[in-house]
Amino acid sequence: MRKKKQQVFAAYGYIAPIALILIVFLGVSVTMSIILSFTKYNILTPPQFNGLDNYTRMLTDKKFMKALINTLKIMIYVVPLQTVTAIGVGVLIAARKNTWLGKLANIVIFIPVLSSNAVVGTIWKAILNGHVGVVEKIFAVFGIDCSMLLGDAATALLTVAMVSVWKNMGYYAVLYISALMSIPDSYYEAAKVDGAGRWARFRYITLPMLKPTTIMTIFLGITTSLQCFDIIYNPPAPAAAPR
Amino acid sequence: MTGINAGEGPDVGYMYVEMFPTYIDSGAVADMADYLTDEDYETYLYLEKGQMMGGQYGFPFVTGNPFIMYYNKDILDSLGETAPEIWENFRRICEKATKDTDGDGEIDQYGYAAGFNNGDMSPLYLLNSYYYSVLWQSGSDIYNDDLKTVRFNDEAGVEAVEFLKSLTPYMPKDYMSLAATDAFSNVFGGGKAVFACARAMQAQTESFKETYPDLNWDYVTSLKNKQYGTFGAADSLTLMSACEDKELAMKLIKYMTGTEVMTEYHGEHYGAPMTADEPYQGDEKLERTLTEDRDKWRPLQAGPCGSDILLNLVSQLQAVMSGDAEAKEALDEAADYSNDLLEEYWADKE
Repeated sequence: MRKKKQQVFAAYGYIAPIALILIVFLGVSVTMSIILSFTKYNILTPPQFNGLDNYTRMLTDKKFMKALINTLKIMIYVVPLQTVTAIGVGVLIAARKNTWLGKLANIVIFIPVLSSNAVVGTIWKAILNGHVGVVEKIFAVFGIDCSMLLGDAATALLTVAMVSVWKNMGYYAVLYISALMSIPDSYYEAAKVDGAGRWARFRYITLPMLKPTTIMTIFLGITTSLQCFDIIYNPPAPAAAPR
Repeated sequence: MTGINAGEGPDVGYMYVEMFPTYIDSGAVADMADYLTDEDYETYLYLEKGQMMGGQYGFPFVTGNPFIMYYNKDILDSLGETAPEIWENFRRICEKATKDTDGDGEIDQYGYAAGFNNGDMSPLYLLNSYYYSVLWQSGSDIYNDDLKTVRFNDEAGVEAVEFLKSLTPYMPKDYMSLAATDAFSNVFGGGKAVFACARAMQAQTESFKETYPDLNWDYVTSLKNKQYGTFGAADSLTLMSACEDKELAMKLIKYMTGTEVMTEYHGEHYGAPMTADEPYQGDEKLERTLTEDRDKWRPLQAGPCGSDILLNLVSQLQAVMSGDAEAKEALDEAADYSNDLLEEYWADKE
């Protein structure tokens, strides 16, 4: 009994530091944010309680509703495409995991994931708007004028979604590669013996076995796409402030 | 803001006009009028541009750099035209200049090099570059005189935006995704447009000498519709209310903006002379913006909720320029939003 109590205390001792950090930097700040959301506050003057006024204003603000709809549209574009692309890339790389090409691809697809959203947004803006001959020719093959993509309301949101998929797909592809490598080969061998072709093996073995990973990918994709802000909005440097 | 709130703010601040109303309302900046003499008003050339919301809250420090309309003299000469003054001549020349010059069926010369993507700049840069000038030239402004409502959606304001919209056929076809700064540097600088609007900065003329040495350019300080008008910032030093020794802080401000310091500073980094004694050290070509054309430019009206109002306005302007909204409809929507903010602001004051 005493030993069990010691073990319990030890367990709490191990998680205490991270719990303290979470409480201070997450819990307290979230609680303060919730409290401040019921006040009128501009930092310079003390907060004044104003009830539900901020929420009423937010829900009746046309710009907020439009922003919410745009964010949901980005989520609808990003999540399916990101998931499907990640599965496809993951399957391709896992099939070549022992070759130098597979290993190289495994590294390359993760590079955009490591970049910051602001940098990615800035670079893609420069690529699409920069009148780069090679880029314009590639897009022209598909009948697209890339310099118009971000300036046209009909294509801007989809373009931003594609950039987001490009940036984050590698992360999910790596998750899928890991999940694919954990599927026992015996399942595929048994299926081959039963005469299952490549597509049947993918549909009846690979996809079902990837279900937990797919659920996690969709969930993470939804939360990430709803936070899509800095890839679109790049604040200017202080020297470039309005004058 | 956090520093000021914590009682550890500076004694002297640096602000641009859009920032002032929040700080004035919260009492964070002090009125400098009591620390200025008649001699100061004669010595410091732009002191009146720091007067706003009933007080002398700003001491202009970076100013005299208005947005001017550059033009390509070679293209203008080839069209048989001279520099325009009024809107109709400007639009006529833009139309005449927009054409395919190399016979490949694609337009490669434009009337007006403009871009409505703010690029690396704040969205308000688009208002600085393109909007305030046409608004003031039409005879309108952002606020009414009492600062309790906005007026940019009046008849003159709508006329201003419709004029801007009417110029889109003469802009590069990707004007909605082209950055304003790139439109000036690459399209106008590259000799592909007859007009472009940008600040009267020597840095730009120096960069033209390096990157586009054959560019033969000149400028008009301001076009005219009902009147002249273009935007010139008046970034200012401010005296913070929490400053314990305001006399000393004012001495610092006057020293920093005085002849000795500014002459040395402007020798390294172009700027308009701040005092009557300071010599002009910039490009001779740009000097008339500070002398005979000095009354053609001014800073913004400082008014409550400025940043919110202007950020909303720029998004509506972009909607008009992209063809997603009509000028009257967009400006009315922006005015409704702005007037709601102002109503709430003034109600709190009472």
